[in-house]
Amino acid sequence: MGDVLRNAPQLAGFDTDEWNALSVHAAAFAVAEGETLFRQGDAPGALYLVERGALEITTRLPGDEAAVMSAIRPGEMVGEFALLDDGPRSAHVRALEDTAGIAVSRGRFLALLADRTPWAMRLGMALRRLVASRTRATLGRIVAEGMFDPGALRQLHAGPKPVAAKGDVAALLRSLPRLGDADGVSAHGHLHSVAAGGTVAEPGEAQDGLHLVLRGAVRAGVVRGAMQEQVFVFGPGCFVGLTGHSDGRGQPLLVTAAEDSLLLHLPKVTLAKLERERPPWLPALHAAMGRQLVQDQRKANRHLGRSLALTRFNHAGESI
Amino acid sequence: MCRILSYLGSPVLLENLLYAPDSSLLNQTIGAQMLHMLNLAGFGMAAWDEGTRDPHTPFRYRTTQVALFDRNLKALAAKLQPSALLAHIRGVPYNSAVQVNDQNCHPFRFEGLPLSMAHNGDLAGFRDMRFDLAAYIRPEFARQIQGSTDSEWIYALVVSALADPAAINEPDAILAAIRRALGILREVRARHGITRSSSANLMFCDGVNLVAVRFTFDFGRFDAGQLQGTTEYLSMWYTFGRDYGLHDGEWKLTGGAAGADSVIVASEPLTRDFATWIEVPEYSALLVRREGLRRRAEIHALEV
Repeated sequence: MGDVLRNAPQLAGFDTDEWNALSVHAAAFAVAEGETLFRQGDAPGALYLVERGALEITTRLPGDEAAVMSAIRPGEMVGEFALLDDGPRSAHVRALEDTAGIAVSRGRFLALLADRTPWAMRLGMALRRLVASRTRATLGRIVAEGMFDPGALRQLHAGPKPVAAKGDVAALLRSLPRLGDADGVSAHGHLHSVAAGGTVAEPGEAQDGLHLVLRGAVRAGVVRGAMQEQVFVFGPGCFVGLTGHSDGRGQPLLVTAAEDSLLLHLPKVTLAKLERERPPWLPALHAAMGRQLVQDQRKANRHLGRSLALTRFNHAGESI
Repeated sequence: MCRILSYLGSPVLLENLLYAPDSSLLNQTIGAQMLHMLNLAGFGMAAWDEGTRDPHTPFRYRTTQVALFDRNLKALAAKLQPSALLAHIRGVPYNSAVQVNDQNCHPFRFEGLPLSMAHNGDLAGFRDMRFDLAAYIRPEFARQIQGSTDSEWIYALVVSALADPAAINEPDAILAAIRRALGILREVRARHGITRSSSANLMFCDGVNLVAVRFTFDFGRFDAGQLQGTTEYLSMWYTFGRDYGLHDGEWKLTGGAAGADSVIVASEPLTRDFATWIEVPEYSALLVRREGLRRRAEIHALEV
C-alpha cells in the first residue's frame, strides 16, 4: 500500500500493524476511464480505497435525472456504506480517468469485525467518522440551499429538557430489533424521560455522548426563523447525536421530542470506557451505529434531493 | 398491515402498476420490501379514466381473493389505462378474529362522493373509541358504514369534516378535513387513555387531486409484548416524471422533474431499485394538485 493511503486524513488513526493487516485482507482493483465501478441499486460488495486516478459519484432523481454529487481523489474512499449496511448502493460511481487502489470486501470485513480484529475495528471507526462527516456536509447544503416548502415547516418547540426517570431499561431495550445483540448496553446508561416538545439538544451544542430512544420519538431539524424544517425522526432503537459523536464536532441540528419519550443517555466517558474494555457485544453496538449512520446519510441525501427535485417539478418553465 | 398505491397523471396501463415491476403492488402481497408481513386479506381499487362515461365516478373493484391469483383482474389490467388510481392490498393479524369480507376491502367511498380513501395502519383501542367517534360523523355517512374496520370510520370522519363532500375539493380543503379528523381521533384517544403507537398512513384520491398522509399517533410508544407489527414509522414513498413503463430495462418514470406530469405515491417503491423514489417525511402530507395542464406537488407538516 502506497503512502497516499497511509497519509490519508480519512484513514487517520491506523498504526503500522493495523495497516499491514488491512493490506493482507485487501485486494487490488483497477477501473479504466469511463467505466463503471458500481451502479446505484447494486448489491453492496466492497469498500474501495483510491490510490491513483479519479472517480465521479452521481445519484439519480425522480424523473430519471442524474445529479453529480462529488468526485473521489487519491487517498479517499468510496463505497463505504457496503461495510456498514446491507442496503443497495446509493450512488453510481464511474472513473473520470484510469483509477486503481485496493478493495476490502464486505464479507471478509464483517467476519473479522465480529472477532474484534483490531484493524477491522479501526476501519469501522474510520468509516463511521467518514459517513458522519458526509451527513454533516449534506446538512450544511440543506441549510445553505434553503429550498423548503413553506408548508413543510413546523412550529419550534422549546420545552423542558430530559429529566432522570425510573424503569427497567433491560426490558425496554429487549423489544428493539434495531439494536440486534447490543442489549448489554442497557447496564451502561441513565434513563431519562422527556415530554413532547422538550429540547433534547440544540444546534452547535457540545454533546456528552449519545441518547438512545427506548420509547417515543425525537425530531431533528434545521431552524428556519421561528420554525423548524424536520430532517430526521428517530424512533425506538435509534441513536440521537450519532453524527456529532462520530465526527466529534457537536450537534448540527435542533433536537426536540416529537412524542413523550424515554431515552437512555450514554455519556461520553462511558462510551470511551466501552471502547477500551471491548465487551463481546461491542461489535453489535458498532454495527447498529454504522447502520444508522448510513440510514441518516441516505435520508439527508433524499431530503436534499426531494427539495431540489420538487423545486424543479413545481417551477418548470419559470425562471428560478 | 396493508400496502397502498396511488397514481395521478397521464394514462398508464394498470398492469404496469399492479403486476409488472419487480415490487409491484400485487407482488407486495407476499414479498413487501419494507414490511415483514403478508397482505392476504383482500384487494381493492378505484380507477378514473377520463374517456369513460361519468369520468368523475371511478371504476371500482374489490375482492377478498388473493388478487395475485385473480385472472379477471389480470385480464382487465392488461386493457385499462386510467389517469388516476387508488389501490390497496389488505394485511391483517393472522388469526380468526379478523373479519375478511368485501365490506372491509379498501378503498372506501360513500355513495355520491368523489373522494376515495385507503389506509395503512391500525388504531389501538378502536373498538372502544368508535362509539365516541359516531358523534362526529354526519348521519347520512354513518348509515353507509358497512364494514368493521377503523379505516372506514377514519374515512367517514374526514368526509364529514368537508364543507361540501359531494364536490371535487381542493387538496387544501381535503387536508384541512384530515387535520380535523386526526384531531378528533387524538381527542378520543386521550379520553380513553390510549397511548399506544397507532399508524394512520392515508391516501385520498378523487381522480383530480391526491393527498397522501404519513402519520402515526404517539409513534414509538408501546408496552413490550403489546406491539402490533413494527417499531418503525410506516413507510410512504413517491416519485414523479412522465410515461411510467419499462425504459432501458428499468421500470420508471422518465423525462426529468421539469417535464413531469405524473406522480406515483406508494407505501413502498414498486421496484427493488428505488434510486428514483423519495420518502414522504414522517408527520407530513403530500398534496398533488392540478395547475392548468401541469401538476404541483407540495409537502405539508402535519402536527395534530
